[in-house]
Amino acid sequence: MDHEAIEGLIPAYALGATDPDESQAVEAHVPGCAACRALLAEYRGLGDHLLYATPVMAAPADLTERMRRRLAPERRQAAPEPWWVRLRIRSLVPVLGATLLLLVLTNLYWVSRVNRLQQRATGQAASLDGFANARAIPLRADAAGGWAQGVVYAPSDGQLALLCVYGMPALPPDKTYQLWLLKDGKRDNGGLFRVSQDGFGLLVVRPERALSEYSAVGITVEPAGGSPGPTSPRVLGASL
Amino acid sequence: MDGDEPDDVVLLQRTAAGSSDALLALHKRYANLVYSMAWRVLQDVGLAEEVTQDVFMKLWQHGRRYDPARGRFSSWLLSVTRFAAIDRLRQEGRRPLSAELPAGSSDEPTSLEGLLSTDHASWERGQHLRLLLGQLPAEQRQVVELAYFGGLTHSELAEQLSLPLGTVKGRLRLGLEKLRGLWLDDPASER
Repeated sequence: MDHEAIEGLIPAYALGATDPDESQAVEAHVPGCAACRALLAEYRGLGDHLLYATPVMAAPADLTERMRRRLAPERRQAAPEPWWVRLRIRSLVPVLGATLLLLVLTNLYWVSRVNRLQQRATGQAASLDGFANARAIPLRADAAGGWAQGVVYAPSDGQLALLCVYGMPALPPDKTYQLWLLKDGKRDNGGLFRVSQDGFGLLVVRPERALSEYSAVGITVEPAGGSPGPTSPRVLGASL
Repeated sequence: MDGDEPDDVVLLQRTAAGSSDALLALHKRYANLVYSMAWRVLQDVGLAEEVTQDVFMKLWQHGRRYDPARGRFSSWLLSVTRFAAIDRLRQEGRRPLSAELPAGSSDEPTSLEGLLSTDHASWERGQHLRLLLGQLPAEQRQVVELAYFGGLTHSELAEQLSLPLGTVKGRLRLGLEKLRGLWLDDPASER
């Protein structure tokens, strides 16, 4: 799709109205086009103003009281909160991520031993040694992602990566989360994963190319078993 | 908002720390705003109430996720509400409606007093944009409203309206370009 075609899609993209293939094309083009980035920022600003362009309605007068009653059993059950909720630091990502990484590395050591045996048999090589100095790439929720957050840990050798997500809604059995790795407008499958009822998920990513060759990552909801390409809006993503 | 009242970030911090009073203060401050968006999408009083309460329960459970660096809290809250309402619309198997109370309708409250305790400037800009939306040709306004408040993509718009995909894309693009032009040219819109 050429620049003019992408430019024509930007107003709809800013409102979330583009189809998945159109969204992919816009996302591949915009990072390298200052004019389209500026246009997108303008239309996103318009979208922000539209948030307030609804009729002003009075909520039922007892709605706050009903919320108070609904909170009452929640308040009793709320304590004790998990330790990571009580942490009063601006960003939980490095602390939680480091803890998860430590826990996962122990298990991954044994996984890697099995992998090495398998890969020796197939002639491939893999190593987890680089995770000690991995780069942590925070993922941001898109509008459709709501409350979700995540981190990609990318070691310097780029052969493996680790995806940690939290706050992701659990999916029905016929759906799965799929990670995508973006390069030159094309998406490689990064793997499928599910999350626990608490919204936590982990994925060891084995990209087809070195991770440094990709420009972005994204997560979408797909049918169980995955899809050849994204079929729903991105819920989490980041530039690499 | 009274100058002695804590701001949104403080209330959010207290909510995250387990203060239900802080959450209820946010509820009192923003319930009408959230309900207005939920109602606009769902156009059903019962569903709008449920989505409103669900949004604040999510705030109670996950309020720490809001990052002030990403923009005004009310905008973030309304954006979350819009998507929650669109999700609920889909769960209910209902089709989004483009019709809403026209600006200045006699069914609509004319005074913000008592309905909004904060963000009057944002609200007024939004209402002005709503008036400009009314200046679009009807077929363009329809697709803009269905795309934004109904969460429909190009293909979904074409299916719902039984129109060719190209027609829908053209109307949406022209409608948004015209709306942007009206907004940029209007001296009353503050940027």
